[in-house]
Amino acid sequence: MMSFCFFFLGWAFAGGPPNAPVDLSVASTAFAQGEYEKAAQAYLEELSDGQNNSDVYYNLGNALYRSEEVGRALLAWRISQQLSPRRGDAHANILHVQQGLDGSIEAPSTLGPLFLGGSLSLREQAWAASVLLGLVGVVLLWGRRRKRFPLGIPALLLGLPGVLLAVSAVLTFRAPPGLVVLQSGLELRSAVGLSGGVLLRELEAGSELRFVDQVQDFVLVEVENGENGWLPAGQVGWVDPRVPFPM
Amino acid sequence: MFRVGLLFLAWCGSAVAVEIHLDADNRNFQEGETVGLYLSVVDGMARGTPRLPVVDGLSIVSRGRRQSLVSINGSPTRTTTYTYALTGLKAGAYDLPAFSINVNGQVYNTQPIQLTVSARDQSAQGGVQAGFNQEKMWIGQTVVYHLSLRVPGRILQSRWTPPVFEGFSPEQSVAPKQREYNTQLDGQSWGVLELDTPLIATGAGARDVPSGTVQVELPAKTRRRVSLFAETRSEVFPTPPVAVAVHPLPEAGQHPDFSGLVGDFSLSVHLSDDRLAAGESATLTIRVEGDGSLAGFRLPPLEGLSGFVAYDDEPSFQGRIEEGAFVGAALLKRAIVPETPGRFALPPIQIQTFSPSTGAYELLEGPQFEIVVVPGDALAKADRFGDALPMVQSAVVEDILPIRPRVAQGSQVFRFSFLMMGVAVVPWALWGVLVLVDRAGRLERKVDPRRVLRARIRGAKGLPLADLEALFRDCVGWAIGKAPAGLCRQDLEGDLQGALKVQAVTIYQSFEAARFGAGAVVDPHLVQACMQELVDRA
Repeated sequence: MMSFCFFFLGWAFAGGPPNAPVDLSVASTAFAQGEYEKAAQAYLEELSDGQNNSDVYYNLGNALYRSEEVGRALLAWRISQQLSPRRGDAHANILHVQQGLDGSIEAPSTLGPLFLGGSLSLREQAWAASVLLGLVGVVLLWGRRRKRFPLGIPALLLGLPGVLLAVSAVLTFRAPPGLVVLQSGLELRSAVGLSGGVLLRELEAGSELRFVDQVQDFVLVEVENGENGWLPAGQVGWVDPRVPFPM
Repeated sequence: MFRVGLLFLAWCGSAVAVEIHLDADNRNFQEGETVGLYLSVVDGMARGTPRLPVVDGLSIVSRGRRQSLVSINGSPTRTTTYTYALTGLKAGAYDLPAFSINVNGQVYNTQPIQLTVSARDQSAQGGVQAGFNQEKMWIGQTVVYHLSLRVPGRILQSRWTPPVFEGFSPEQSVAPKQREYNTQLDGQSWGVLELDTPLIATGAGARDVPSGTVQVELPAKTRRRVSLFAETRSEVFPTPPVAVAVHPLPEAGQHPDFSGLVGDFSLSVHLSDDRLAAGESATLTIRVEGDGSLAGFRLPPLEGLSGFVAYDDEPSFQGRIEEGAFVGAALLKRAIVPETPGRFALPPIQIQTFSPSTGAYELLEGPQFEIVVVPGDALAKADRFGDALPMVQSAVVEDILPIRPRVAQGSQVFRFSFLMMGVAVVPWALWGVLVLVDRAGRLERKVDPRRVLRARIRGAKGLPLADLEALFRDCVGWAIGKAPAGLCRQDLEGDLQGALKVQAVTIYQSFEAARFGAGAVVDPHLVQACMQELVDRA
């Protein structure tokens, strides 16, 4: 039973059965030869082929950064970090880019509602919660077979983190994704429209914002000091791997 | 068995953690002076009082032992300290040799220590002394300002106001070291305060380091025989000014890439792997140790070698004061990442330092390593130095980090799956089913006897005669409301009516006759019809 559980855990965290192998040589060769736009295009094709994993997003970010697409590069690294939060290289690259930004806007936290986002991705949280809660059920089953088996402490030790992870996964899943400004000079305005209201500030490519609402083709965003404003939806990227990557 | 296992683990832990330390209050003392000598046994118990070796010219007398229990990293640590009175009988240099001690049934050896007994100095028994550990100083050299105060009695409290060290800056990696202990000379007890302050000479020229002051609290002599509170007196001791001369470093022999290190240093270099695939990394570990400050030291850049990328980790520095002198060490790591296959000779690490002992520049040179690079991913992949934080990387690396040469397959995007839900729900569902089944088993079943009898009647055709009679008696008993076992012919005649009574009595008699061997024949169809009617009419 235990070996089955461990096998299942390993399989689950490994990302399930692998898809068909993808030829990465085109993108890697193009990157090594300095053809960064071609490499970025190849990585995007891999994304469209369903290879939505942290490594492809990270390498895409590097290719975009070398192509001087700082906003999209930062978006790709953010998604890579979201899919694999324990890898430090994406975080290091983001810090490197943020040091070169204006610095007037502080990036929103990526730790998630219960601060687990820095160490576990949404997928890992959901699977871990599922397995832990399932193990609580197994403990209860075991307790029915052996009437004198003490259920309280093991059920508590498994159940509490399981519930915590489940709540975190649900809240993370329901939380609106972050936004990244793709082009410099984007105007944050006080009302909907390209010239609606007054100009609040100009945003630099790579600035990270918090999503509040969307009306037609405009999104209402919040910057770090609580200031709200409207932006054209097409000029920002969603830190969400389920949304097609903007190019 | 479990307790035996725990005891075994505890024994293993205690056996591994035993430490032995031997140290004296002062390793330089006068003829006739008595200082404390301490033998500490950490996490262990020696058998009896350890006997120290006899050294001609020294007297060592046991003064007892004390125990302390402290918590280190959450685990209790017991230290037993054996105290000895160490008295210098004759001037000279002595080696207190290593000796064996039996702790927890195992034999451990102490480390030898060197002691110096100086000739009796009648003129300087008390007061304050101050000075540097170096007479000739050079710009950038790390020196130690030593203060020693010796007063009759016992020092209860002290406060040191240092002088203005013009032309010196404090060595940042080590805090001043202060020690207070008691010693005895000719039966007189003395309190001793020693303070070592590491400094770096920064200004050339001759100057006087002015006086500082030491304020100490000493026990006051009182005539009261009984006193609730200790009475103290305060005394202030000014330190003598010290004349120093700091020499500038000579220009002759100084390389353009002079490291700035001043002191006598040693260099050791280690390469983690000399056979690599292109894109893989090896770590070059460099350790520099000496009597000078190493704070801020950086490795010279890797030059003269193409096809390699190097990343330097944040160096770590350590410093301490030993025997009144400064000892510094630096540990530096450099990740070497080859990008093209081939055989390469890694240039040796060369660090030029200035040695104050010789007054000349010296070149520290590490070994030359040869690296064999086989074809690989051909893309640089930085060694992450274990669990180094990304912040450290960003502080060191000037550019973004390289791409990941090994890309995973498949999607990592979270999607709800029934498998995930099943893992969590199926055990609970099974548990719920078991609970329901268990509860259902505990409920009393409400059974309709008419339905049961009808079902039994339907299957009565092939029954043996005894079972058929039992079934008949059940049906009659249920029809007339009496227990089947106690039925008799009178019951049938009294409680049944009409043709059914006749038929039932006839069958009853047939069963009686068959039972007692009268040879009567029982028609199962007739019995079945009668039982059916009995059940229907009841």
